[in-house]
Formats: sequence, C-alpha cells, structure tokens
Amino acid sequence: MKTLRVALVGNPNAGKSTLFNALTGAQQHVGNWPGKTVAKKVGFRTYGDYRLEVVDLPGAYSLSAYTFEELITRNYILDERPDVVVVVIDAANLERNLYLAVQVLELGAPTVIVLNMMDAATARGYRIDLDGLAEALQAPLVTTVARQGQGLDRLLEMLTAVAAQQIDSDYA
Amino acid sequence: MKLLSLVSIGLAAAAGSIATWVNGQHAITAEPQPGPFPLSQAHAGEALRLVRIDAGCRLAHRLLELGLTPGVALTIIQNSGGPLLISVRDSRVALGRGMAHKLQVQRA
Repeated sequence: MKTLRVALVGNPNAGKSTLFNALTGAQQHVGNWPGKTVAKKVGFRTYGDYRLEVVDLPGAYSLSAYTFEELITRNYILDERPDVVVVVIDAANLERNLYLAVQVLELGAPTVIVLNMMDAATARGYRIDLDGLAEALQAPLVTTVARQGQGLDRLLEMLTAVAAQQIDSDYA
Repeated sequence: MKLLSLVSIGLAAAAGSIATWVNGQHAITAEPQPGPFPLSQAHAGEALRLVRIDAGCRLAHRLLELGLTPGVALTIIQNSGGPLLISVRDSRVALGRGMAHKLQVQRA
C-alpha cells in the first residue's frame, strides 16, 4: 500500500486541527490557544488503495515566516515535500486566508484548497462564487464543515487524486 | 484629597480637556479628534477603522499579513498600558505599544 503524505496548512484557527481529527480520528483537544500546534502531530488513515500520513502543521499567516511556528510550516513544505498540501481556509474570513493560499500555490506545491467553516460563512450571509474562486486560483477547491464532518469524503477523494497524480508524474 | 481633585480638574481644564468622574475616579477625556489618531490612544471597546500604517516595510508587510489592511474594521479589547489586544477579522492580535503608535485609526 502506497503512502501519501498530506500536510495541513492554514491561518491560526482556520480549523486545521479539527480537520486533522476528523480525517485521522485522533482524539485531541482542539482549543483556541494561540500557537497551540507547536508540536508536530501526525495521524494516519487508509483511503482506497492509499495510506494517508497527515501532518497538522502550526498555524501561519504567511510563509514569510515571522514566527517560529511559521518557519516550521514553511520548512516542512519546502524540505519534506509532502505529496499534497491542503490549505485550510476560514470561509468566513476569505481575504486574509487567501493570502497564505496564494503563497502556497506560488511555491508550486500540489495543493488542494479547503473552504472550511462554510456554515459560519453562510450564517453571515456570505455567498462565495466557488467556480470563480477555483478558476482564479487554478486549484481544486472543496468546501467543508470539519466540525460536523461535512465535505470530508469529497476532500479525501480530491487530495488523493492530486497527490497520486503528483507521484505518477514523478516517475513518468 | 479634595484639594488634589480640584487641582486635577484645574489642570484638565487648562489642558482644554473635559474631566469626568466615575466612582470617585477621574478620567480625563480628550476632545473628539477630527482626523486620524494613533491606535495606541484609542480606548477598549471602541469601534475603529484603520486609516494608515506609518511603519517601515518589514513591519508594514507583517501587519498586512495579519489582516491589518487600510480600511479594515477593528476594535480594541484591551489597552491598559503595555501591549494592546485588538480584534480584527475575527482574530485577536496583540500589538506592542510601539507598533500601535504607527497605526493611524479613525472612529468607525
């Protein structure tokens, strides 16, 4: 069974750890302490023919790496070269979150964009043009409500597709 | 004690400010300023709008990354000497006083 390495990145409190727990089933405390994800958390899951190794990276506002946590995140993406980088975005806070998403895309890493907390965005009356956004970013886009497990199947499908494609092209 | 209070009022009046009394404590409230003023002078609970960042490119860059873009709405959670705690784009951000001096804001 082939292992795919999946890295979760995103702004602090975008829902990375919630998504991490939903994906890997790890029971962990998800709180609101700034910089709480300093430890490297790895979880596993099998999906289809793959074994997913999911890493929950520390929250970052930017890859310019102003803080130690941001440095860990940047270095992981650059040095460890995960098979897919999942950028977790707080859909209720697009403007600031997309900044990091674009930086990851500019690195050229295989990326899936997750608009998390879609329920919160909807509750605020935000209507997001998902087709337009995916088109502008030129990246696959998935919407989730990680807290309720919504959208996880689609995300798994998407990230394995992106990661597998990447692996194939490496050996093509 | 009373004499001291009277002196305070006198000083405040002389400075062109209004002295208000709350539970025996007094706070000197400045006249409303028409233009932008430094974030460091704003009070907790105030609804503000960021007008300008007067900082070097490194700090300005970082503040923009944190979502402190010109025109953004922000509120002060705490400003009681030392670093300030503000709320911007659903996040709490702590700013050193020096940084807060460089952010020009307006009342929203």
